[in-house]
Amino acid sequence: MTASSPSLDLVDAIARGERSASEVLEHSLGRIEATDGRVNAFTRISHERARREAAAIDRRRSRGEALPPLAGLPYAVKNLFDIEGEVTLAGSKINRDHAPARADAVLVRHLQTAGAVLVGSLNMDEYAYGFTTENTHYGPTRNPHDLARIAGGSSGGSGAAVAAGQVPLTLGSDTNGSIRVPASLCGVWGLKPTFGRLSRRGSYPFVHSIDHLGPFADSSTHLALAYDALQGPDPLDPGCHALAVQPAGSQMHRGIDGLRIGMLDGYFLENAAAEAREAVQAAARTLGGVELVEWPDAALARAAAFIISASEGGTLHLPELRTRADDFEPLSVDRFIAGALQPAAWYVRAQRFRRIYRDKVNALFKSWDVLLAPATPVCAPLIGTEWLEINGQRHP
Amino acid sequence: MDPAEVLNYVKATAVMLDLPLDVDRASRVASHMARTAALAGLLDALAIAVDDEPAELFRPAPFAPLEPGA
Repeated sequence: MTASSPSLDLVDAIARGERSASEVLEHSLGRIEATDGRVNAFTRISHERARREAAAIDRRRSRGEALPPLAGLPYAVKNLFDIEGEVTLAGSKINRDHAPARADAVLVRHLQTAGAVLVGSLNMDEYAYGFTTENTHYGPTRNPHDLARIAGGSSGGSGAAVAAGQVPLTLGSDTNGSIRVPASLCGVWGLKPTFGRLSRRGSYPFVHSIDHLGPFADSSTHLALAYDALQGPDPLDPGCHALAVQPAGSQMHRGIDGLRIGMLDGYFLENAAAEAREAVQAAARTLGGVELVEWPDAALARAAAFIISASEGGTLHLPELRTRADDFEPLSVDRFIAGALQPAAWYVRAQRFRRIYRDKVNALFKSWDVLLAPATPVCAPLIGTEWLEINGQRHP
Repeated sequence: MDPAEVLNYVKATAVMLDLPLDVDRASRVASHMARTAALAGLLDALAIAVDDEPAELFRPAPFAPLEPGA
C-alpha cells in the first residue's frame, strides 16, 4: 500500500489529454484478461458499456469540456450492486432466475456522474454471508499476493481486483467486516463509512439494520475522492440519513496534526496473532498513537452482531430456504436456516444491548478521534482452511 | 445445553415455519444453533434494565463544520 496513486496520475493524464479514457480502459481490460483466470475476481465484464462510457469521456475531453473528478477511471462493483440490464447475482445461483435490474444502483449512478467507467461485477460470498469468498457456484477468489490463499470476504472480488491491478477502484459492502477483511488480507485501502452516510438503494441486502456500502482503492487519497463522489442524500433509502456531502478529499492535506490517536488493547490484541499485533503496533508508532485504550464490551458486541445478522439474514431468505435450500451455498445454508429459527428473545435482547453499547462507543469517541486495531487477526489463510488457531484457541 | 434438546428445538421450529429439514441438515443446523446459544448466553448474563429499549435505526451525528477556506 502506498499513499501515492498511479490511478490519480491516470485521472490527471486523461484530464490533460495525455492519455485517452479508452486507452486506459483497454489497459485495464488487458490486465483482467491476463490475470483473472488465476485470481477469479470478476464474475462478469461489461465490455460494451465500459467502451461506451470511456468513449463518452473522450468526446467530452475533445470538445474542451471540464471533466468530472474521476473521469476515465475504470472501476468494478461487488455483484450485489444493480447494473441496468444485468441480473444482480449477490453471489448466488438462485438469483440467476431474477429479472435483470431496471436501473443502476444509486452509488453506481454517482460514480458514473463522477466520470468513472464501469468495467464489470465482482465475486463475493453468497448473499454476503461469509469472510472468505470461497464461492461454490463461481469458484474461490484467490489472493493476488499468494494464489493459494483467500482474498477475504464477503467482498473478496473487490479487494482482489484492486490488489491485482485490474482496476484502481471497486465497490463492496460491509455488514460485519466484509470490506475491512478483504482490504486487510489483500493489502489495499478500504472504507466502511459510518452507517447512514451512503445510500444502499439498488444493492441486494443481507442484514438491513447493519449493512453498509463503501469503496476499495489503491491509495488513501483516491479512497477519499471516491467517497466524495459516492455521498449524497437519498430520502428513498430508510437507512440513509445524509443531508449533505462532507468532502473528504479536500481535507487530506490536513494530515494527522491535532488528532487524538490511540491503540485498542484487550480483546483486539488478545485475539490477534503476533503478526497482526506487530502490524498495528508499527502503524501506532508511525501515527503517534501509542496510548492503549479499552474498547467497551467487544465480546458482547460480537455476540449481538452475530445474532442480529443470523436472524435478519435467515428471515430475509426464508421463502427460498423453504423451497430451494439445496441451491444455496453449501458453506452457509445451514447458518441461514439456524438464523431463521432463532428465538425472538435472542434477537430482541441483542437489539437492547446494541443501544447500551452504542452509547458507550459514542462516549469513547468524545476522547478519541482515531482508534487503531488489526482489521483481521491473522494473515490470509490458505483456501480450504476450516479452523484458525490464534493464541492457543480454535476459531471456526 | 443438551444437544438432543437443541435438535428437538430445531425440528419443532422448522415445522412452525414450514421449513423442511432432512436428518443430516437438521443435525448441522442444530450445531450452529448450539454455537449461537452460547453467544446468546453472554447477553443473557448481562444486567439490562426494563427501560433499556431496543436500538432504533442508527442516525449518524451531523457533520462537524469544516475549517474556514476548506
